[in-house]
Amino acid sequence: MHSEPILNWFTRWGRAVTRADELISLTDLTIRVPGYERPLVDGVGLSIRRGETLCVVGESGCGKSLTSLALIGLLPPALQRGVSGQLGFDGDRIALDDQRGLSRLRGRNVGMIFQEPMSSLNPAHRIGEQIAEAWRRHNPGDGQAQAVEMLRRVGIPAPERRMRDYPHQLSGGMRQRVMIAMALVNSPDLLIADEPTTALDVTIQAQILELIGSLQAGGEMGVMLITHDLGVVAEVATNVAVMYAGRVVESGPVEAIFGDPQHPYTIGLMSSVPALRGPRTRLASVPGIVPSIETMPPGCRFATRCPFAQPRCADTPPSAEIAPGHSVACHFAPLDERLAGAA
Amino acid sequence: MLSYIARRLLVSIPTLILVSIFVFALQQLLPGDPVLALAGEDRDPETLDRLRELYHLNDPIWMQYLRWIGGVLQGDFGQSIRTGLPVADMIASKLPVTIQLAVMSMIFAALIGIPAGIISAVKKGTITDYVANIVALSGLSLPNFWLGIMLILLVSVRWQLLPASGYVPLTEDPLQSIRTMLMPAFVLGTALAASLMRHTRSSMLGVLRQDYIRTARAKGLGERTVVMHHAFRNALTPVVTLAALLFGELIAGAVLTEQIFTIPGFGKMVVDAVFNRDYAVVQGVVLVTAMGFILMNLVADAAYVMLNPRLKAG
Repeated sequence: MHSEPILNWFTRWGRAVTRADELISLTDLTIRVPGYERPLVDGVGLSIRRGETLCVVGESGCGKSLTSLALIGLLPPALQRGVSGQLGFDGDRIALDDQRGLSRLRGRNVGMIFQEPMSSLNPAHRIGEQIAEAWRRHNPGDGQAQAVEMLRRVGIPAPERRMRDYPHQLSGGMRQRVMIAMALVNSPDLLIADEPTTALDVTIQAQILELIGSLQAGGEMGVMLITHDLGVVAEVATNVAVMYAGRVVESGPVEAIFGDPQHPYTIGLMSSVPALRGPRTRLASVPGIVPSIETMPPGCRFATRCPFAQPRCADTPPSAEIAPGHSVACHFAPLDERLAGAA
Repeated sequence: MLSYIARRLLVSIPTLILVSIFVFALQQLLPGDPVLALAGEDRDPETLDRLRELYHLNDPIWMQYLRWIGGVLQGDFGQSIRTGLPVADMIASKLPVTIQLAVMSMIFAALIGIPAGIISAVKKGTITDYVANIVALSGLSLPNFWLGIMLILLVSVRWQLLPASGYVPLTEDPLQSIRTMLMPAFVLGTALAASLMRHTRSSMLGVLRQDYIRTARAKGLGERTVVMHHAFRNALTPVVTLAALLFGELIAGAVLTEQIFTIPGFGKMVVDAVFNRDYAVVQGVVLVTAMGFILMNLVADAAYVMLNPRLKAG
């Protein structure tokens, strides 16, 4: 089933990006909920270049999924009404409340796969038909040949026969492969993968990530991978955006985020990963919980849990670029030696 | 699939036997003596005895049952005490009328109820949804006899568009036959449309929340394709099941509606038979109705399997 050895995969994901043109840039995405003063997602900005993988990380409920859904106009109607912001796509600018503009990107320019392969395929239709349908929507022809080819590329054995299968005849991993085939049948510029491996067995997780990597390699497709698994981030990311309570608190190249984390939340997140080597210590965690929309503090949203919080944290910290491509939204960035040592 | 249907048919045999026993027993428990009703004014004991003998009413009940069920199995439902005609012939003459009425009513119900249910689910919480719900509720609450009389008043008496009553067999003059049945079918159909609409709506609302609907949208499919091809296909099962069961009810006859439009269907025959204590007719009609119900249940089950790939394979 493995099309390539695991080792190759690592180098491919991390390969040097030769074409550096920007594919998408999201600016000032804000999602307001009627009746609440502070927005659910507040001024989020992201950018992805061709061939790059951006990993969006953060705790559950930090707005990762909402951000990705807003990008393609698939938020639930109640939230969609409160969206503002801009999407730059391959040179075009689209307002994020422009449903028609965003719907033109879906399926053709942007493919998306979701967390739940078990429920994301239509149980009443054959999988071949579900893939072919995605092709037919944007291209002439019946899409049958393309569907077989995609099933083959995602590593499904005997694709011609499998075309006639219903989703319930496939395992979770196989279904996620079918989802990937469906999302990529139109060779989109961007693949959004919202925790694509969370619901799968660990061994299958690696296979699926490897598959996404191999389909991206050599092409110009950008990938936005939403995850809370820092191990995955370390392996596949080109860039990382750390989200907390609806804001991007730190973003930059993967080396900078792992090697030189600046935001207190990022630092906490990094130290919560158990180490395989070295002395066994109590696992570090970030104390407290993410504030809900009712309890959201003014200013820095991490202040309620931050060990370095000061009175001035009641003002919203601006996002400052402390190194090329490395931005942090903290009043105290870059952290001085004393504070970094204390963390 | 075929073996599934065969299995279901076998299972329905005990049900039918039970129904036949109930039907037969019910008749015995009813007050009133059919012989008295038959003899009328001329009640000398000798005549009554002769009549009892003629209809085997002096035999033990179990023998009466066996005689009856044995005949039924050979297509002989006995004779009407009232008219002397074979019950099988009477049923055979009414059945096409009732089936035509049921089919036309169901077409009305489906054409109104299902689209209305889909639209109100898609437009949930909007004016359209509220209006559809109010109309559906009115459809459920309006008594059929009132709607029937109003239709006759307006459409037949005032505008003179359709005949007010009567029946023309489909084989004789198809167009006129459909014209005479249009209003009664509409009256029956609107009441059913309301329940179909409510079921379609709630089923669609459940399906529209599913992950695979989001997947369909993420593929860039248009709203029409998402709703009809992806959502409705999955929402159809409970609707088809309900429609089949409602159809079974229609076969049992629509007494009031048939009376208003003087349609010579099942419902009217049953009422007449009950008033006349015409046991053989009542038994025959109830048994045929029960068979219709069991058949429709089977259709509902088969549809359920056909619409679910998961069950079709197994």
